[in-house]
Amino acid sequence: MASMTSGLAPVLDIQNLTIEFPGQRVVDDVNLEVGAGEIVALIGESGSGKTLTALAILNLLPRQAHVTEGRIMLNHWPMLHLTASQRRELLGDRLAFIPQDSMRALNPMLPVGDQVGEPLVIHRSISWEAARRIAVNLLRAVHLKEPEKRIADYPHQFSGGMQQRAMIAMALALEPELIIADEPTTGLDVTVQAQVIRLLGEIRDRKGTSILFITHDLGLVSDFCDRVYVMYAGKVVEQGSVGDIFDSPRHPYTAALLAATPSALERVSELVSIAGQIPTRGEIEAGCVFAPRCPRAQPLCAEAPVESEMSPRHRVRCWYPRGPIETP
Amino acid sequence: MSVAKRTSGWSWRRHGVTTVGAILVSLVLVAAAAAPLIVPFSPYDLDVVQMLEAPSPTHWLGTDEVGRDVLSRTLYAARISIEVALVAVGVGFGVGTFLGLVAAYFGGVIDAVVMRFMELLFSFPAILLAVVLMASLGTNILNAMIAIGIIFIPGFARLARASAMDVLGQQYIEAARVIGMSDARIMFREVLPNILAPSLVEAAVAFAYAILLESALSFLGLGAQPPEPSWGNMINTGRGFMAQAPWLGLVPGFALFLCVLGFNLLGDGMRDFLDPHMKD
Amino acid sequence: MFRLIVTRLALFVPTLIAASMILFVAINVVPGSAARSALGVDATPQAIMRFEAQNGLDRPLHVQYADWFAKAVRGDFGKSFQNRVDVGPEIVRRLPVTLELSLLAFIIANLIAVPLGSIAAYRHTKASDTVITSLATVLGAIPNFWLATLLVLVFSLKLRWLPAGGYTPFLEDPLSNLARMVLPAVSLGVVSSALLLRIMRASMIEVLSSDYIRTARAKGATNSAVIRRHALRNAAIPYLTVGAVEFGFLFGGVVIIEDIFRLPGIGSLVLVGIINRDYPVLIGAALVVTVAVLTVNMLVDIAARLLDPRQVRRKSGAA
Repeated sequence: MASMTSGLAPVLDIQNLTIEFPGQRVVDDVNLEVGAGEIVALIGESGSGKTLTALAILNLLPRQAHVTEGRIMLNHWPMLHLTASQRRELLGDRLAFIPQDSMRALNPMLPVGDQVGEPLVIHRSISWEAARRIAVNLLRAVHLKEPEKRIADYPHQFSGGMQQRAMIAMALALEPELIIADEPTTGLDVTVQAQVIRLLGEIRDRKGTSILFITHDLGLVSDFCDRVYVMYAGKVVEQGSVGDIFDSPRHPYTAALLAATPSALERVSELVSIAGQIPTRGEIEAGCVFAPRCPRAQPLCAEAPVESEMSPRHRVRCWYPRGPIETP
Repeated sequence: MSVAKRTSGWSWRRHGVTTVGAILVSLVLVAAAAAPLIVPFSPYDLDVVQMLEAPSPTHWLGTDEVGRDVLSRTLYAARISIEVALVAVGVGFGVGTFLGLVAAYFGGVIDAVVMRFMELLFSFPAILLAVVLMASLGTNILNAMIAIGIIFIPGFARLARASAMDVLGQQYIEAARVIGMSDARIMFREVLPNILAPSLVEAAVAFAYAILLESALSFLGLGAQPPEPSWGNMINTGRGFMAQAPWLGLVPGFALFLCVLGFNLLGDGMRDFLDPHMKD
Repeated sequence: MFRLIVTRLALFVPTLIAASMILFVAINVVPGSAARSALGVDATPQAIMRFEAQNGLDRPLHVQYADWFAKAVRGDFGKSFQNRVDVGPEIVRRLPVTLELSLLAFIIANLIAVPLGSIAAYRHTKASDTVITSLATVLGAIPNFWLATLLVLVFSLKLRWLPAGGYTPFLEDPLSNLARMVLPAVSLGVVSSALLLRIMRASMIEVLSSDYIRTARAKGATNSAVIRRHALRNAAIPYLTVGAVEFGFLFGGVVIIEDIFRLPGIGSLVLVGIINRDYPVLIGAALVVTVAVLTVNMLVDIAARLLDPRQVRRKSGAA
């Protein structure tokens, strides 16, 4: 299927992805694409299903979660239908993951250099010594000072920002085609956040790596992402280019998110205060998932809305999308 | 997005296992209580003619080296085990819980001194301490009860103190103090009832350990003295006749094993029921 | 790092002293018992008094303790009541036996506990986990002296593969030495392994649900690499920390096991002491066992801490 952005096949193509916990559907019929060299943002509050979507690509879902429907293609690899050993070949090599909490994502018992170089040992069968030497370069590439000394350090000796950059270095080791970054800036202070984002942009510019950037903070996205998917309660409610989303958000939820996001200058807390909460997994009923919190809800919203196209690359899942120039 | 694991307090798997434990324990308790009524023979009756008989319709588990019925002795031995365990756990639980409660309540120097001492006591291997204590107390069943009881004190003290510290941080304790309740009343009326649950779990497990220790001491000749039947001394005697009459040592040992297993399973089940998060 | 070791050692010495005091008091809880035991039930009061004067048992307890302790530190454990033989050299002679038994039992216990505990954790919620956990529960309930009797029955009497007891020094005949150590070490090690298995399993389950394990998998590491490189190291620390106590208790078991297999070690010396009511022997042997237990506890604890880089290295400054 051709990409939305160019005529070429997308690097990542998720179709009709549905993930369920026993008795509860937490990701519902999600379609998502990332093209070559694109940075795509996946936005949602916690509980929206965005992280589970990412974990499904890697097949690292929690024990009770199951993919009940859908296809995930990474280039020509059908991610959900690989054998374990085929998947292991791809993970860390063609596809890399930057998790949320870098402190806990690093093994406290091993030196950072070993961990950053580990993908090379796993996939290129080089020696640990050689991997450590390459790790020095990787750490330098993510602007860590004195990398020759840093590789012998242990994770607890790094600051939060350094740890996150080490995780990025780890992801870069084999120049993957796609990097999935799950909230890579949470918990970091503002200047470090900006550095991390700049780094990710550099990576795309220099190597043409595609990035799936998962976050709850719309404010981070406008500068460096190309396209945005907005998720709510397991469904994609709006998708479009950054310009589309920021200039003319069509879904009431997107509009509310934008209105609630502090400006870049006053990034205070991550809590998006929209009236109400994401329904817990047991509470989702038929109909539009956002209806209970939606200021524009109508009787028709008791039927699940279908996607409609606002403009060639801008789709929304709503019966009553906002007009192009409405104020929130 | 994290997923809360469903830790069930009473899943069927655990339920089954605990039931087995409960059944085993009940069997032992019934045997102990009803032994005088249900034994086919007296455990003390010698019968020089029928020595070392293999299990037969008359003697279901055979006879020992002086012709006593093994089944009867095995059942009677349950009484000794339960008796010793009851007293020992009682002593350990009573004194230990009291000390732990006091240490937690008064804190400071008292806490430090008491708990240091408890830790020290705790680091001794149980058998060793028991043996040493009985060296001066004398080697008989009663002293075995006391010695084992002393060994259990630190464990219960630690547990009681930890639970009490939790409770003491609560509001209603503050409230009780404010209205002028005496220390003793607060400790025994307010704190104590709320720390009993984990201690009871510990008591079940301690029961198993007490029975094991008593058997070990009897095995070494330091506990129940002949002709009193204890699983321990029966196993010891049986050792000498392993070649001709293996059942002499195997039967009481198996009874001991089932008894310990039962209490362990029961204790595990209780722990699961009362605090499912303690398991993994 | 050195501070760690030094603190532990500094705490260790007072602990030893306190432990020796407890032992001493425990033995002398009932006054006059030593004399009466040595001389028999119908000893006259005068004989008792003479005995006590001869052996310094009429002095106040703390004086006796100080004297005993001062001598013990120098290796002088007094003379046996029974046969006036020096206790110290006897202890030294028997020490290697107990050390060898304990070490072998320790190895066996870990050889069982670590792999099986890891497997059970890895296959958590599957059938093999239940099987292994049940096995651990059953093994933990077996009295070690009964297991010893069973093993002797099967392997010595029926199969005639291994001797039922006795001791040959290793240097004299290694094969015979090991053959005689197998059953005792297995009896001791197998029962201890049950608790250690549970600890390993719990520790491993915790570790396997950690984020860094997910990171390792996201890098494409094989399952065995995940366990070897990432999981074991992390699980080892709580295993050693919590298991330290159990390792110590393993030594407690030597008292019975040495008796059953007629191994001339310190454990059986303790029994000799109590059966003969030979107090210098009893307290000397008991002290040595206690010192060994406390030492092992401390060493394992230190090892656990040294394994953890977070304890050993301090945070570096720069960003």
